[in-house]
Parts: sequence; C-alpha cells; structure tokens
Amino acid sequence: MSGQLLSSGVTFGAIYAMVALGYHLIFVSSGILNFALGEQLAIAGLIALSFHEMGLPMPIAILAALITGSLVGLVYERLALAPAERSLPGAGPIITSIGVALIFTHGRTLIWGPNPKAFPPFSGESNAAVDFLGGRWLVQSFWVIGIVAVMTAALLLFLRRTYLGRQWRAAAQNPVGAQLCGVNPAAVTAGSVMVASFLVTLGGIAIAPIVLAGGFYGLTFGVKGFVAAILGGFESTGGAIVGGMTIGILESFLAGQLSNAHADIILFAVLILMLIVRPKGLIAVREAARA
Amino acid sequence: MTRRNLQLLVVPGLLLAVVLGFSLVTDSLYRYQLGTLAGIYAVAAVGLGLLLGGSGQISLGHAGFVGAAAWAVGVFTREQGWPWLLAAAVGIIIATLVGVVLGYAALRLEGHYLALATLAFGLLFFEFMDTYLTAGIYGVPAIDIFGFEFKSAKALFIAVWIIVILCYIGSRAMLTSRFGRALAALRDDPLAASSTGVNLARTKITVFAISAALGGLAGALFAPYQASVTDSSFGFFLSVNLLMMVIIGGMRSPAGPIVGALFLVIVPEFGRQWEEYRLLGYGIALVAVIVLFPGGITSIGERLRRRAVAVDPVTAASPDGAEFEHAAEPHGASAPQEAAATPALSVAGICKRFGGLEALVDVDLNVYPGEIHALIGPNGAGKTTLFNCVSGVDMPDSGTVTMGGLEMTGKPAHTFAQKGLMRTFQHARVFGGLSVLENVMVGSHSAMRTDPLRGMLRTPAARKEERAISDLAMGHLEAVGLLHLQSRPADELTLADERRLEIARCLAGDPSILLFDEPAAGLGDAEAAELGELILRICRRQNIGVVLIEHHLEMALGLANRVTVLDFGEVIARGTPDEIRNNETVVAAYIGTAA
Repeated sequence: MSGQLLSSGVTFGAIYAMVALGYHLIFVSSGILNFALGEQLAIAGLIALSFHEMGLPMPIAILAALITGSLVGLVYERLALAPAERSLPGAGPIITSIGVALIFTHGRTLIWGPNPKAFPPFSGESNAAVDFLGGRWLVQSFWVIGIVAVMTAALLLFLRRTYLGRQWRAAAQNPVGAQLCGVNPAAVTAGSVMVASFLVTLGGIAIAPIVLAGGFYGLTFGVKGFVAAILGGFESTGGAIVGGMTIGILESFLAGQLSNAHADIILFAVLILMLIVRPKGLIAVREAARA
Repeated sequence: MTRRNLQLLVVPGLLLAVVLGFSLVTDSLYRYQLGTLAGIYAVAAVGLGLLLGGSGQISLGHAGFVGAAAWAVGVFTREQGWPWLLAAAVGIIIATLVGVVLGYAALRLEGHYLALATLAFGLLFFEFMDTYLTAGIYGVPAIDIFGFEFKSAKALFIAVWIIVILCYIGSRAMLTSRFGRALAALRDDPLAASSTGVNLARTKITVFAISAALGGLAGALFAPYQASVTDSSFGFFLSVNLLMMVIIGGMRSPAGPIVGALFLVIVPEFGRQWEEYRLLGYGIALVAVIVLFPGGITSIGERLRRRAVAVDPVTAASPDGAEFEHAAEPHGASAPQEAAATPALSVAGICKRFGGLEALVDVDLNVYPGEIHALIGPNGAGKTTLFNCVSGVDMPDSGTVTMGGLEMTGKPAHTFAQKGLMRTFQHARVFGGLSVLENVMVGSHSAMRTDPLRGMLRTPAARKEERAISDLAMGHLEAVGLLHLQSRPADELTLADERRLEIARCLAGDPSILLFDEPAAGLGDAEAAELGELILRICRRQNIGVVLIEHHLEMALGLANRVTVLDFGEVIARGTPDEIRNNETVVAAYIGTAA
C-alpha cells in the first residue's frame, strides 16, 4: 500500500517540482508570478500529438512541441506579461497571466476538441509496470523522474556555470547594476519565461501517458506547483525540487489515508500556514542558519 | 449646497434614477434577477476595487469571502432561524476576520504573497465546501428586516441596488479621505509613504479587511437571492470574474467596479449562443484591457481630458519669479547658538554592515534646531546609508538615534515621521497617482485623526479636519512655488517641481528635522540656487534642523553652518565650512591622492 503511494507521490511530485522550477526561474529573474504555466503543461501533450499526426516520428514530434512551447512562452511574455508590467506594475502580469491561462484552457477546444487524448508511453506497452520498493511503478514514472532530474541538473549548471546564467542571476539580484554591466533585463525576463515554458512543456509531455494529454488538470498542477515553490522558498532552485517532492509524497499519502479532497484542504492550509510562519520557505530557513 | 457637493450627487442620483425607472417599466422576473445579481457582484467588486485600485494589492480568492458569509447566512437563517440582519452581521465579521489573518500573512513578505495567500484561501474554501457541505443549504429564507420581507424580486432588486449606491458613496468618500490618500501613497511608493508617516502594515491590513467585509456583504445578499448556498457558486471562477469586473470597469474609479459588474452580467446575456467561448473571451479581455486600457471603461473620459490638457505642457517655471527673491541674510556665516540647546537629532556610534562591507563605522552626528548640517563625502562614503539608518528605513547594527531627547533606535520609518523627522530622496519620490495638493496632504497623515470609518461617513469633524489640512497644504505649496499646479496629477511634474513637491510634503509633517538627500542632483545651476535659497529660508524661519547630503560642494558649503565629512563609512572631518575647505584629509579624500 505505502509503496504504491510512494510511487505515485514521487511521480507527481517530480512534475510539481518541474512547475515550481518554472515559477522560481521567472520569479527570480523578473519578480513576475506567471499563472499560465499549469495550463501550458496541460496542453503540452496535445501539441506533441499534433506533430506526430502530421507524420513526424514521436521523438521529433516531442522536440517540435518543446520548441513550440518555448516560442508560445516568448509570444505571451512579449504580448501579455511585459506590457502589463509597464502599465500596471506588480498586479498587472498576475492578471494577464491568468488571462493567458484562460486562453489556453478554453482556446484549446477550438483546436483539439473538448476531450483529453491518450498519449503513448516513452517506452514499452502502456501501463507497463515493475515492482520496486514495495509497490508497482509505471515504467513511465522512471522517465518522469529521470527527465526532471536531468533538467534540474542542467538548469543548475546553466545558472551557476555559464556566462548567460550568471547574467540572469545578476539581473535577479540587482537589475540596475546588471543593466549597467550590459545585461538586458527584458531579454532575461523573456528568456526565463521561455525556459520555464520549455520545462513545463517537457513535464506535461512526460506525464501525459499517465494522466492523458489535454486533461483539465492545468489549475491543479499550477497550484500544486505553487505550493511546492512556496514550501521550498520561491527564491531557491534546490528548494523547488524539495518542495515539489514533499508536496507530491505528502499529497499521495494524505489522499491514501483520507481522500483526495481532504488532501487538498490540508495542502492549501499548509500553504497559508507556511506563508504566515515561514514565508521564505523551509530551504531558505536552513540556508539562513548556515550563513 | 456648493457646486462640488452637487457634482458628488450626479452618479448616485443617476444610478438611483435608473434603478427606479427600471422598476417602473419592467415586470420581467428574469430581468430583476439579472439586475440583482449584477448588484450583488457590484458590492463585492467595489470592495475588490478598493484593494486593487486603491492600494495596488491583488486578491485571487475573493470568492472565498463571498462564500464564507453566504454559507454563514444560509446556516444561521435556515437552520438556526436567526433574523437576516444578525446572520449577515456574523457572516461579514467572519469574512473580515479571515481577511485580517490573510492580510497579516501577506505582510510577512513584500511582493505578491497576498496573491498567493488569497489564491490558497479561495481554493481551500472551495475544497472545504465541496467536501464537507456537499449537500448545500436549500430553502434560505428571504431577507427580513424588522418584519419587512424582501420577498418579491422587485423589492430585493431595489434593496440591493440601494446598498450598491451606498457602497459607491462610501468607497468614493473613503478614497478621497486621509485613508484613501494613504492607500494611494502605499500603492505608488511604499518607501516614501512610510517615510511620510503612513503605517504600511496597518494600512494594508485595514484595506484588506474592508475589502473582505464588502465581499462578505455580497455573500450575505447572495444567500437569500439564490435561496440556497452551494459550493459551485464560489469557485476560482467567481474570483476571476470579480477581478474582471474591477479591471474592465476601471480600478481607479469608485464607479468602475459597478460599471464592470453590470457589463459582465448583462453583456454575456446577448451572446448566449457563444457561451462556450465566454471564458476564452474573458482571457483575451483580461490581457487586452490591462495592456491597452489599464484604466478600464470609466477611464475613457479621463484619458480624453489628459489628451486635451497635454497640448499645454506643464513647465517648470513658476508663474512669476517673486517667490525666489534672494534671502537677505548671509549664508552660513553666523551659526545659531547651539551650546545650550538639545540637539534636534543626535546620532551616536552608528555602525552598519552589509555582508562584509562596513558601510558605517561608529558615526556620530548632532544636529541643532535652525542649523544646516552638510553631510559630504565621495560616492559610496555611506551618506545615504546614514540617512536610512536615522530615518527608520534601515536598522543600524549598533549605536543609538535620539530625536530631541527621545530614544528612536530601531523604530519603524513611520514612527520617525510621526515624531517630526521628514526626508526627501535621492531620486525624487512623489505619489504619481495623487494630485499635487493631495501629495502634500499625505505629509500631514500622522497629524490627522480621521479614521477610515469617519472618512467614509464624512462626519463634520472629519470634514473640518480635511479643510484645515488642505488649507495648510496650500500654504506649503505656496511656499515652494507650486500652488498654481495644485490640482495636477503629480506624475506630470518636472524633476525640479517633484523636488519642490517633496519639500512641501515634508513641511506638511511639521518637522523638527529635515533630511535632504542630494536635492540639487539633476537640476541646472539656476534651479539648484533657487532650491538652496528655499532650504535656507525653511531652516531659518521655522527653526528646523536640516541635514543636507549634496555633491554640489560649493552649494553645500555655502549653505551649511557645520559640515561632517564621511569617507568609507567613517567620519574623517567635522567643522565649519571654512575649516573643511582647508582640511588636508578632506581634500585628499576628494582628490584621491595619498595625504
């Protein structure tokens, strides 16, 4: 029983972590909260399926979907987020990102119809599973976990080791100073939304074989990702991963013991409590203690 | 009755006429129900408008407040048999208390945490209803006020819209009162607001509580309107819908949310065949309005006005040069007697570190009433950090700050302002959304007594105080030469005028200590000279202790009675301007040679 709960908790936790990484990335580089990420995740599988139906082999179709997803991010950042930050700083981009989320949720029926679609697993038969740690694990779960691990490592390397990544962190810490050193803050914001879009698109495709492509779970993933980001501390890269895993496993076990709805109530209550007692997140608290 | 008072009656009168006219010509139950629903949403939207337009904060969970009160009214009237008024009061109190708790949560960090906390609350409430109150509450009785039952759709419609009109009048009065100015100050520039005496934490929690209370009122009306309370009415969609109403109608105008509520309830009725695209349309509208028309429908008139005014640009020049006749007294020659007096501001042993950087090391500074004390030093010497430490913006690591013998170390910025320390900023910080006159009136914030409730009710005492403060503010505007621009929005001012406005705002705080952070930066020589005269006059006439950070060395030394020189966070010299001119250490620090 508990092995089973662990398997689904870790799988979903990995996706929450991916969404939390997206929020974190955009937030630290521009101070913007982007509520559209969850819905972007929900339509990711549909985009890949469309490319596949055009005759592209699946891996290429997924690649095309990732590029498309990133470009969609660039487009709405330029059209909806950046101008909103100019016309109504702070609240503006929050509101327009909700608008973008509504467009994704309700506009996709125009293209793909109202029903979610089955998505083939990355390897093996659909629902292929193995025994591991006392539970049945879907083979796709390992894909999900592996992808999230690789992406996290890549992101950390990018932020810490590359010139561009250091520019981003500089822009996040001191926008004016970074600008004086030749960093273009508009490019950093646009880039961060693109990378976050890439991450949630990849996450959405990886989870699609498990939850179907294009289901109405955008708000759920979007909000759980938020709870994860808050738990880990919005400004910590590692915190997003720890937060996501914690939320995924906690949710899975609560839902197993009680029910899904009770699990949600407890999670949201935890979020409000966290905001009151530990607004900088669990990880940030530890980092502060070390400093 | 003055012309202004008559103008104030236009919108409520018009609304009332439309409501009564509507009820004379229509007998359609459907139209009454639609109109009532628009009115109920309008009440909640007015509350959200105060929060979003008034203070710049955002709530993504207002449906939770509406739902909590509706649920309370449903339970208490249906199951406990309470009268509606009592149940409504309890419902509104519950919503308000939740609002206070969430407002407190959001205070802990700057930025968007209120958005997150409210989102979590809205979802929590919905899940809670969905899980524990799945059955819903049915058969909620009609509103019953002292035996009069609002049973017919028409009676409820009229009652709801009278409440909407009262909410409109109240929110409009509140926005133009002391509290409304504090909200706008908080929205436009929190740092300047707190340094001007506005208690940010209290203001934020208060506006959030008021906003939640209006959400609660809407919920208390919703339960009897619907005659039932079910979870599906209060989901995330309602929160977004209310947000839409405020934004489409116009968040900066008290009528905006009402216009938005009518628009969003009525317009979709004409496009029923497009129902499935409604939310898609909402999404597009949210983006389009914020990006293209951030002021919403009600701002169209204001836009046209600004365009018409823009033909005649505001210039920096005063109508006549008379205000800046040269002061007769010689500059800085005779220092006022300071030996006997208590310093207006006394700083002892202040240290401040930023990580490994020692920004201030054991700095002492005494400023006496009626003297100008120049604080000079190369870039990065710690001058602005010292200002921040002695005005409550930054907390010194050690050392003490006293004002006129009063221990002030570690107090928040608004307390410093209340005790008579006012400051300007290196980059002029004015409240762009307020008029020039209102900016100055914010300076009197801590001297005023009117609370949000009295401001809303416009009690005689509140009106009297408002007039007195407004007269005082005009006096200060005259002193700095800005009286002719009093009703202009502050964001239309030139840099030179923004600095004068900052000074007028400082004067409105009736200061004993004034801190000027590079007041001449970015000004031409003539403007800088005028500003110097002004500072000198203020200091002498009102016996205010002035601390002046200035890179324009001749201006600083010309105005000052005494000078303190900082370099790398340490005091390297003090004395009269002449002593400083001849001090080798100072010259070395400025020119950069090894002494």
